Amino acid sequence: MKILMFGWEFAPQIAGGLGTASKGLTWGLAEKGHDVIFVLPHSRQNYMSETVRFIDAGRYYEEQMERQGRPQGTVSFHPIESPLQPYQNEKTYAVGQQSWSVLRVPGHYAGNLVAEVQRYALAALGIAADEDFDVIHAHDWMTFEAAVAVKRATGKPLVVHVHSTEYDRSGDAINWAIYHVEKSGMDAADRIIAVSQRVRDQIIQRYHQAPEKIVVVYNAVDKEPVLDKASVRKALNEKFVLFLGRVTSQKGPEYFLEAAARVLKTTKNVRFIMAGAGDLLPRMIEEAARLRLQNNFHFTGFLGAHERDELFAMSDVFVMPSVSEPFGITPLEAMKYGVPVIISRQSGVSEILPHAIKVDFWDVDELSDRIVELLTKPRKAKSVVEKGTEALKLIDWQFVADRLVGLYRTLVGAK
Amino acid sequence: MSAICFTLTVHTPVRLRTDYSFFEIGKDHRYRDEGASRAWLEGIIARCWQPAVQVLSDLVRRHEGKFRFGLAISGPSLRLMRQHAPQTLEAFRRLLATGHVELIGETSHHSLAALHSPKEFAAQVALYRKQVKESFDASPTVFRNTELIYSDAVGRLAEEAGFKTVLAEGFAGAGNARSPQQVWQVAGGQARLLLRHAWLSEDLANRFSDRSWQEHPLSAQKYAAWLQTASTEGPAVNVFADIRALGEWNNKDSGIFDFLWHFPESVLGRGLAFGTPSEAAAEASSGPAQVPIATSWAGPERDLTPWMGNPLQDSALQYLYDLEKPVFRTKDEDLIETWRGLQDADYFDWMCTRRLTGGTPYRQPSPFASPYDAYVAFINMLNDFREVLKSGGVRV
Repeated sequence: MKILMFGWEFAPQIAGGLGTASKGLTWGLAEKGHDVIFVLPHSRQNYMSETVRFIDAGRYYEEQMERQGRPQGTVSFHPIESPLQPYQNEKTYAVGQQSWSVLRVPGHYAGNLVAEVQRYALAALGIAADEDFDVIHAHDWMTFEAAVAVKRATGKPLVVHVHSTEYDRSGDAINWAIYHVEKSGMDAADRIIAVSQRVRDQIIQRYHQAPEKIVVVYNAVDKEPVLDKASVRKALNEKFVLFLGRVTSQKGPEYFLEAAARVLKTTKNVRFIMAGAGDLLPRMIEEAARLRLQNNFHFTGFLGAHERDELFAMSDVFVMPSVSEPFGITPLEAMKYGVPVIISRQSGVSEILPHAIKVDFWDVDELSDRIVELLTKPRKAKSVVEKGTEALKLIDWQFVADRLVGLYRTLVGAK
Repeated sequence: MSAICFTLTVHTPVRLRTDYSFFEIGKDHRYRDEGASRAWLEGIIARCWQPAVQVLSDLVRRHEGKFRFGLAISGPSLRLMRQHAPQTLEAFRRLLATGHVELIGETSHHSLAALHSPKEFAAQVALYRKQVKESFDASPTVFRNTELIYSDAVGRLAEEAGFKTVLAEGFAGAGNARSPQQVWQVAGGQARLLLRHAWLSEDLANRFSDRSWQEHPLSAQKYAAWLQTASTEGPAVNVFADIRALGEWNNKDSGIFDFLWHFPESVLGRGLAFGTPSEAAAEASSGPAQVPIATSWAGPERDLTPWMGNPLQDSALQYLYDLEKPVFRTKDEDLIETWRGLQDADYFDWMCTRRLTGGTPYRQPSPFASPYDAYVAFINMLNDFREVLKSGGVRV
């Protein structure tokens, strides 16, 4: 099977879970011998496999412009008012350029996204004309217009993969232009993949798609941790409780902070770490200062892959208090490092972790009680980790690849 | 006869590391950015201190002592010069050695200790005295607290530390309506108080290069006329300026050095005299000045908000001074010095978030990308420092 895949990021160059999922399922397909052409707005991938190729849409576009002027074909764009960053909003703090900043949000989500999305779609048509493939697979709204244009031009079946919706990212104050792009992509698709039942319900209710068109395919996690936990040196002889994710209202960082304040009233020798950046970070820093948590609460800013793994390896409890989480790969990454996790009931990943500790994101009392329990009752923590390890056995990108291939076959066979 | 009391302050902070992340805690105990500190020092020396001291020295010589003034050199800049720019330190020493320039006392670490720990304040004053005795053979009797921060309590602390005269802000809105041309007394004490003439001082610091200012360009003659007018209202006109008015905020093309060159002769030509702070303070006192709420020379309100009052600043200051008792328990001079090295008022100024919406610039250019970065890095350092104390067996 040859798959033309349209993505926006690819691990390890990621701003969020989308890049991690893109990498996981692509490698899963590759290991099963399928060919994947993965188109990115800017590809910095320096590794390849025999069956996976990366195309840098930005560079392709430049080259094509040089060769023959504007790429052939037409793509219809929905005018999208800025700001458009999928993981950022307009209130994102303007940071000075002179030095490293805890507030820095990774670069490829900043800048002029409107132009980026349009250029991407134009390049996509050229790429599609050059390449041979059986099926089109597009990840999240930034790539939908490109993928729909390619479907129209080639008649090949289209799968759109919804890793999150505008409702997850923005609550009820959604950007209607983005909603429209999402819905048009879903309307044009032959199949829609939702990363959880939660997302499937949203797609039915909010995007008015036929239930039989939507398939749930859960994400997975790489089998082996990158770092050997024993080799990671922890300089502080204290327990770490970790939040790792974008510091935006979707992720519920304020509930983590509030729970930390409660835990610290009763529990010693524990530090809370908020890893990540986002528009709520300045407010979180001020709130931690106001609550005088300076001795035990830390901010790392956005982390690279290595530092993320280090933090997972050093942590004693991982908390994902998301208000609205379509899936949530980070708890799986934490579990891989043998870290007990607490996840919000409002997350997709909770659907595949029946034995995990779950709390409602807003229930700070419950959250702080569960944190204290894991910190102070080693047997409880151990049993949570054991159940997690058991659950991980059933969570594998290979299984995801099997599901995808099965889905592609039904579409290609139908043609 | 009325005296023109002109003083200059010299300060540049040690720059802290902007990359001090959570991952350094417990591993790396270096908080200073030596390279950046040196680069900043060398820059300010080349643009400002060196040319200013050159002109000032020539003027003192030319006017044979009739041009006299006060000079405050902060502890951090003193130590940075010792380390990286001994020739500049020597130029200051020669200027002071003329006998016509009075060295003004400070805290040793440009700190806010007067507001947070009387004990630490006294220790830093003593430390500063020791350092200027060594460097300049000077024994200051006039005190100027960091950023001209003053209140009745600060005045009494300075008096207890042995100073005869204290400098403070005289801005009319800054909690007082008293004339800055009068000589006052510390409330509840004997020490004399000289109040800065904010308006005339800021003509040099803030307005000299401002082309939209109706008085631009300001000539030494015109300025001397203003001083003369002000001098009719009392015995002392106190022009307290940051040396950065001479070459930094007003660069060499602004005409500031030409202004400076003609400044003494213009003043003296009008029958006015210069006096050092001690000389100005020798005039009869108009009584005690009550300053219950602290004032400073910074910002539109001349209050403490550049350094204190937002959650970031208050959290950082609380943590810093909470470590005072533990650090002294170590009896380790290096650790005490490290702790003192984190007390520079600029570090808290850099955490001021009001600047984000415009307004006055930082007192010193911040190396941090934002006030949040300044706070996060500083707190990481304090957490590391606390680990160092703990590993030395100190209860914190």
